[in-house]
Amino acid sequence: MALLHINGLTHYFGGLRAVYDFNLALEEGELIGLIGPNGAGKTTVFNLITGIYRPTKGTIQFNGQNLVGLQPHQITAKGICRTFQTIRLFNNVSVLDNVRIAFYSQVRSNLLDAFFRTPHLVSEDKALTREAYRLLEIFNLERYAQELAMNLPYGEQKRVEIARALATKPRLLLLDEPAAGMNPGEIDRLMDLIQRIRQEFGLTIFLIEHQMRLVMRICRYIKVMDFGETIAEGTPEEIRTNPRVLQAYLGEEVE
Amino acid sequence: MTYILQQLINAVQLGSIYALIALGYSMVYGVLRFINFAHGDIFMVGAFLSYFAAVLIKRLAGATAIPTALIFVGSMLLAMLGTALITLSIERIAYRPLRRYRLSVVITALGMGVFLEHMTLVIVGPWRISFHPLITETVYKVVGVSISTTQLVIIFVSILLMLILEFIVRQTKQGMAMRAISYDREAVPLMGVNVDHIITLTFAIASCLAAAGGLLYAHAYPIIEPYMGIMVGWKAFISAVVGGIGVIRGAMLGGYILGFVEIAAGAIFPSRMRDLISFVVLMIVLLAKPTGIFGLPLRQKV
Amino acid sequence: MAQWQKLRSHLSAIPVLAYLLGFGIASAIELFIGYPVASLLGLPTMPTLFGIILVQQSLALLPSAIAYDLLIYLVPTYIAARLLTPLVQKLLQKVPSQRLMLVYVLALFLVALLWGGFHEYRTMILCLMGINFILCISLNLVNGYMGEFSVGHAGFMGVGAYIASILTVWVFPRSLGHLVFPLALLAGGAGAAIAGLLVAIPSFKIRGDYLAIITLATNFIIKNGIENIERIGGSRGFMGMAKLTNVPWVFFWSVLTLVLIRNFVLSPYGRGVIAIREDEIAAEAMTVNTRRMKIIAFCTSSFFAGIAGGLFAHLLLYINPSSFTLLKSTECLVMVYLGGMASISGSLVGAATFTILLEMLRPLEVWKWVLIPLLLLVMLLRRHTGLMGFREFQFLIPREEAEVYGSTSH
Repeated sequence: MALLHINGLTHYFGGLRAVYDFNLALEEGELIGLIGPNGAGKTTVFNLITGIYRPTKGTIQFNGQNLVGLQPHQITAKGICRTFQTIRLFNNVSVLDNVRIAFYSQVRSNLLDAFFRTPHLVSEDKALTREAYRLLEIFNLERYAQELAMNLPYGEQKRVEIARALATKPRLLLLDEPAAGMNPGEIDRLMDLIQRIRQEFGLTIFLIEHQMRLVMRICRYIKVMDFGETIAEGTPEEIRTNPRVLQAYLGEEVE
Repeated sequence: MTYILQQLINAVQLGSIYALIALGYSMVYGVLRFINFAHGDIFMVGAFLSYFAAVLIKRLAGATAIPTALIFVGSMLLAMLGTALITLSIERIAYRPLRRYRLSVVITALGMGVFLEHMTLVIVGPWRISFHPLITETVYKVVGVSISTTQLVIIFVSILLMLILEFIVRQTKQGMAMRAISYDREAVPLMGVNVDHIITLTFAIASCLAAAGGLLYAHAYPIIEPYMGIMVGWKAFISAVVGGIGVIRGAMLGGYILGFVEIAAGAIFPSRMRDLISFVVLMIVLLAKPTGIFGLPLRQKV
Repeated sequence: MAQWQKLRSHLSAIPVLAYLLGFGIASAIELFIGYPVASLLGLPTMPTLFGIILVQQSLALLPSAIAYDLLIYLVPTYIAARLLTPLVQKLLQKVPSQRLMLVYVLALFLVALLWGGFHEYRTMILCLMGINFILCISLNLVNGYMGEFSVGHAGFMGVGAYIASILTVWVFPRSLGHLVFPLALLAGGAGAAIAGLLVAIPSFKIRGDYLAIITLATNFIIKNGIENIERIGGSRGFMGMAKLTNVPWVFFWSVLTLVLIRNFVLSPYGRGVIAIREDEIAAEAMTVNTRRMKIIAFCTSSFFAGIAGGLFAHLLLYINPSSFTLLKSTECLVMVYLGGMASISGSLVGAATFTILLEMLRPLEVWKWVLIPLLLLVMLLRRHTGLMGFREFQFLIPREEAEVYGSTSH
């Protein structure tokens, strides 16, 4: 049984077909990539999986449970978390609180505990804070814990976003162009980081990427989209030599 | 039947005024994404300035008889000029420095409204002034329906102003820049348009329309007082929202819709319920169509 | 300049608590020698509000008023504060951090009673200050912490005021008075919270400016609704309440509001509310149930506005729909943005400053509302998030949070 099972996923914006008949069976522990030119509908696929848009047609099943119709926060709580193409941190909030916010669904104290700040809440919050620091340490971010997120350099902000996503305890991590705006050195480090957290947290990863270098090196399986349709899929080797891909995507990229 | 026709004319008259003021809210919102909460009071200032302008013109004319139409147009132009000056100074002093801080600037706008109301109160005193119409009133009877000159003038002048606005917005360079900013705020400055100039122009046009609205309103309901802008302003604002704020035609349509709703509500329910019903209608429209009738669907980019 | 620096560091070395107690002692002394000192200085009466009102009656009284403030307040407060400093420092070390706020609260209560408990006018001001504080902090929850722009706070205040008044006048036996007063207030708060749903539910679909319009409409609908119910007086208003609001009650409700809202915003749920302000889509993606948090924030906010309304009604003993118009809502907004967004300390500062400012400017009548917007403008131009925006006084933050809060709050 695949961890994520997508069948016939289709989405229209008004008359515009953004995604058409997208299928995917993602096994636990895999790392697969989704590539395609700008406007191919890649991010829309993520938005459909995470419940930001409701698909026009098709089914999405995670761990055997249907996701269509659930609200985004419910889907994340089930174990799918994402990062955003353009960084969406909570800017005027400390890095630590960016991470602590993501513990929301794991909080056991109820609202009355919150209003009366009961010992139960205080001790739980302390544990969450420790947990948040632990996550920040993994990403080498602990020294920024009390800094406002918006004051961090770009690369650090990207790492905070991944750390924040991990705080939701996902089984499946969706990364939307994690390497955008990075130089080759930074991309190498990012690849190491992705591999490391994948092992450490036992993650399944599904990533959208523009940087072919990264996708070709770390993904074992790649899907290619163009104009909402899946035009090719296979191993990096197969993709590299697929004429349709070359025409639609690589040709444009190589210039 | 004649009753309904009669009410329809009343509704068009009221709707025209709402539309004029609603345009001001809508245009400023379109360009700045900012609700100018002081706009209702700008309208009130417009009404007072046209009163004083008329008095001034009459006094300057002394014994020489000048046609009323001239006084009407003259005081409207003077009121527009004065209102625009006041609005532009407010924009310069209170809005521009805070433009980047959305919430703070809304608060200053609310504050400027309170300021204008009470400044007027200080200047003219707590009395209600009765506005002497600048139009010689004749009532025409058409198939049993009576239309007064005042009503005709109100409807005619409003429509004329709206046509001028349409011309500015569609045919002039500045007007097109205005629409472009409403459409995409990030791209326009890149295209060499001076956004500050466009904003100034928008505020100027908005306040001119409000001043005209003030003069016309004072003809329909000839009592003016410093707090008159609050209720009218809010209602015009509702019109702008119902039509789809930021969209010029939306504001016009919204103004007329509200005119009809109010007159209909006043005819069916006790008159003190009128405002209540207007606001309930607003709530319903917004719940059904959160961005108003003409408002573009705001899809956030994710 | 150097001397000024020295003086500043000298004065700031004395703990706030010592100043507070010092002021209490000064107020106690005033009780005994206030009148004689005032007449000695040639003042017609004892200054009730630091002589501000007297000076407005006649500017010639300015020197005497300043002398009075120096003699009665400043000098004794300073001396007492200095003498108390070692004692206070010892106390602060001994008291566990969880109890620290209790110490401040008790001290503040003592001072309030000593300064204001024996003058009708001062009592009135203190009560208004407390009520304004409740309004301010509850509005700050929505406008500052959640980042929505609610313009209709006075409407919820009105609902609370009417429900509480109807209960104490028509339903509860009058003889029970203070015993059932909390019940009436709670019922008023609950009613207001239900009205808060009027705003909360549209907020699922509508954000930003459009939601501001909904809150505005809600304010009008509530006000017009009350005007149209003849049974409770319509636009003529409602009266017959007993004077149940007093300094202890106001103090109790203010502290309760402060503690509950502070606890909430520091909790994981409060962080969820803040996340909505920052980025609603990201908040959802990080498991925050934004709908639930919006309902809770709006209802909590209007609940406390309702409590404030009940207190207000039983202070002025007369309410009518025009007490709860947009002007009142604007007052609440001014307090929030004057004091500071997303700050409890800011709400304290904002409510206190605004209440005193209103009293100071009262003799100016119409000019008051000309000056207040201008003052607000100058304030916002200098500091666009308000005096204490996004910052907190240390003593309001529990120690376990202070450690992690660090620079974020300063």
